[in-house]
Amino acid sequence: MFWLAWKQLKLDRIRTAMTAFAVAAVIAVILVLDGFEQGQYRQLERVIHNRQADLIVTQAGVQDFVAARSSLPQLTREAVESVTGVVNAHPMTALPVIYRQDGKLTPVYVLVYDTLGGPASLLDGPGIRQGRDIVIDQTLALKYGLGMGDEFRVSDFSFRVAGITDEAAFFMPFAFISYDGMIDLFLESEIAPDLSTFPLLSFLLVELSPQADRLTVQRSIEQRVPEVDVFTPAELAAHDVDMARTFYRPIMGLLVSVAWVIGMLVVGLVLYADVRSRLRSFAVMKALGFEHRHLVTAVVAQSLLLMLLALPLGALLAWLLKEQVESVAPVYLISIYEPLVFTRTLVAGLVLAVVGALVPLRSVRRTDPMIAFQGA
Amino acid sequence: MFLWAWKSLFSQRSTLVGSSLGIAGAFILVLFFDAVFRGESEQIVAYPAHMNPDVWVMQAGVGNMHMASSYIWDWKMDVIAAMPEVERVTPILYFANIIEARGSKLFAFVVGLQSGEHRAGPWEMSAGRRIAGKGEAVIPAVLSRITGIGIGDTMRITDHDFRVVGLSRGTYSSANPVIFVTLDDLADILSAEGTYSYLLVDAKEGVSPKQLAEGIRRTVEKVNVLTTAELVANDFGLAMQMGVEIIFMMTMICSALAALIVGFSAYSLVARKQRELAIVKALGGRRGALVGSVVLQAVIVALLGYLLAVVFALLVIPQVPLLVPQLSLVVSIGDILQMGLVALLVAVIGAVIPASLVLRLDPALAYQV
Amino acid sequence: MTEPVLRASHLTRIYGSGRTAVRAVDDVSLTIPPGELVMIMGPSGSGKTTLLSMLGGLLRPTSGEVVINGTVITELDEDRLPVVRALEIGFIFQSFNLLDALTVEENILFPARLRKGGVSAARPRAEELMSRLGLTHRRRALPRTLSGGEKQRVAIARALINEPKLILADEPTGNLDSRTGQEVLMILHDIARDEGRAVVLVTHDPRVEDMADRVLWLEDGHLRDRSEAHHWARDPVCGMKVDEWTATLISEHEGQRYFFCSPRCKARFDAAPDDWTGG
Repeated sequence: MFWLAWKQLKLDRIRTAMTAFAVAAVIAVILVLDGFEQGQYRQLERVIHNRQADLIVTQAGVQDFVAARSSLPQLTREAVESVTGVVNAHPMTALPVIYRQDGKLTPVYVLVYDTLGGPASLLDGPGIRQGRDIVIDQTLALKYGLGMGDEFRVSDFSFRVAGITDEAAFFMPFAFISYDGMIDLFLESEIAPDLSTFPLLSFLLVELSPQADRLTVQRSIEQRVPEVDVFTPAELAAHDVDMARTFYRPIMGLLVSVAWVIGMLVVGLVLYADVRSRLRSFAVMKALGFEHRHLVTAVVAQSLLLMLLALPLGALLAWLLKEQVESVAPVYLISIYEPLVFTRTLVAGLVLAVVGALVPLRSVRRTDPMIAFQGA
Repeated sequence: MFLWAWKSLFSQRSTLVGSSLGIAGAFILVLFFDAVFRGESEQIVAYPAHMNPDVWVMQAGVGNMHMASSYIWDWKMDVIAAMPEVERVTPILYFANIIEARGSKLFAFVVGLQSGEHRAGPWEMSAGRRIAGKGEAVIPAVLSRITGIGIGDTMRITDHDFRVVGLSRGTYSSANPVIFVTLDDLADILSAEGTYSYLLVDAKEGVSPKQLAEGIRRTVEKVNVLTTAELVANDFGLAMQMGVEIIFMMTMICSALAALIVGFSAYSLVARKQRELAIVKALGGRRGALVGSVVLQAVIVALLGYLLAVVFALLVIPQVPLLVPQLSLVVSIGDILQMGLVALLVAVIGAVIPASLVLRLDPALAYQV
Repeated sequence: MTEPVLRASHLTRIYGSGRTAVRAVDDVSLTIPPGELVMIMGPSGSGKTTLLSMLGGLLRPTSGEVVINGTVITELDEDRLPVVRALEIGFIFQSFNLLDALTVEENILFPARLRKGGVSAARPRAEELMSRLGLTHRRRALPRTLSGGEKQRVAIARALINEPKLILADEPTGNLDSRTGQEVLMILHDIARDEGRAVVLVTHDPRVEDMADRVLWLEDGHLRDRSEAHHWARDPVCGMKVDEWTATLISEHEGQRYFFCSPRCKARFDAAPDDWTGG
């Protein structure tokens, strides 16, 4: 019956193409939605791993990196560096700001770094070489038409674009400045009575000696400096992803569910329309001696074949959409190449094909073979 | 021909219903997305909108509250308070962080209030009381429902524990739940003694917000001064701008999907009625009328889907937060009307292939068995 | 004595109930031995298709029994009937009912999937049928490219592929031109005579009368043998030949019965009968 279903699909190629395209479009929407959610999680992981630290020190009680406010006393660095196995504790500060230009607002996550933790790669420009330099994510460059040497004002303080990178997470493009730049910014903005006591430090990126055992050093730091918590990059990334999941899951879960319902409607509709138009054929098949199970198999086979046509087409459409979305808005990462995303969509698609095939089965069962005697 | 178009479309009711539902689903996806962003955006500005001082004073270069950080030296508050135009100044500390409650971790905005100060606190309580001293917190009632944390329970911000003493209303959105603690507690957490985030400034009677703002700008350097309307517009604009790209893309994608479903439905109908259409052609039916009938069918299917989506959007979407309290959804008439235009466009695009099939039909088909 | 291929006993089919009940077939009995070609005629709505459907196990009679090759098909449930249809009966329809997506060869071989050996075992038979029916050169054609006659020949081949003992044909020449119809009738005749199959033909085509072994007349649900001679009458108004057996438009004038081909002719006659009878 798969053979018959295949021949049926080949008979009206335009209709089959339109149908496969419609189902593929639904698959693409689902892949993109799912990929969008996974992309958010991948971005969060990437942000942490790009800092290239062996361990990351946060304020005690803070278990996240992005969107978590961590504040460490400035003397913490010395205390951490005194622990055996620690080569260096590189400072890092997180400064969420809102960038405004030409009436357009964008939240930007500014990371202040010193000797480690800067942009993992540069798409353009030499990077930070002096105090007022700033490296910005390509989203900002694209959105505001910024290039090398252009002004970038943060809190009324002027930086100069010295590099373009690819780093964004949680709907925010990232930017990187040096501590010289940050101090100048704070001094000019008159934000605090005494910068030496003001919480300028968010994290410490710990670099270990090659022979140091990570777990041992982690425990040692926590013991020596009780006002901090210490995590591996993987642990911190996992926390951030968990936190993001509580935010995204309700919305994305609902959207993906609606998309699957649409998919089922489309498949069911297509098959129903097709079966209705072929009732006569089913009546003839019954008259020729084919049993109900043969007809069911034919309908299910057609649905599965349609889905098998639609899945790779949907994956291709999703890829095209992904490329388009990421080129227009590089702040988003749409991660459709995740094995989990693909597998889930593939399995769900096949299940959908079978469920969708149930829609017209009642019509098939009720088809009276006597229809074969009626005029065409 | 239009009568034929109408009748033949409605003679296949199940197919019509199925197509309309599919199209409705595509439109519902877009309307839902719009509602999410609009709802979140409106909720994001709930705090400044309800506080509604005449002006807000913040760090120079900062023009938002949402997703922003602002620090002002504390003495600037005393300078502003001494101004003759000023009735009252209320400072707050404000930051975004992860809070932990009953094993759940949630992103939240925390407002630190001076002890005994209610001016900048929750505007409506659903249970318990407002904060009276250190170690106490008021959380959104919806947050309580989601996490199961209630009055008397403990929640944690960084390494500080807080006892929940009250539940507030109107302070929750999934992107921006607002929690109230004392300013001293927040200053401890941030190590930000001597600093405030925002100053809520109320003018004396007879002084307009604009006059007050100008006065403060003249008097105090390195600050930004905005009226509530300006701050709310900035935050709302920010939230909507963050969503506008995604909404646009979702609209494009779902509209394309809807067009495909419309096209498929119209094509199926034409394919099924080929002989009838061939007969009409053989009898002298004009091409314009034939194409018009196909377009009409596509428009009817698309509009039916649109109407179903509108009914769903108006009746069901606003009820979703009852089941999923994390979501703030607002359905806007503007978005709905815009979707109507999209539906028409979808119909026309969807009719292209079926219309071309009709034009290519051979009238001799009328004679075939 | 040869066992009949088909034996139908007291078949009745009632549609509806109570005052609206219609006896489409009323107490019909019929026996057909192998090699016989039986023609069933009757006016429109006389129950011919209903009778054929019951004989083929596509419709359950209200009462009565149908036995095909010793199997009482009226006692079989829906799960077991398909086997009988597949192996014992070959259907030929007025509208051909070929599967649009399949080529000529595939259409012919399609029912072979239901028998032992499947398609591969049936290929030689299919070749033979295509050759005999002049379809070999069209084996890869799709139905939409075939003429009416070709389609009906494919349908006949399909009906024969599983070598059923009984062929049921419903108006097989109804959609064909005269010459093609003639061809098809001859094929059916040969199937009965040369292959020893029982062929039941429901048709209005008068040419079948001359070659059928038996002509049965179904009217108001009753079946009678039309072997007695009958004659053609002439419509007094237009002069067309009218079959007395099938005529429904009849007038009496001066003790004589007149048969008409159409209500118009009858109306003209009734208005002035003497003008037409020469009286």
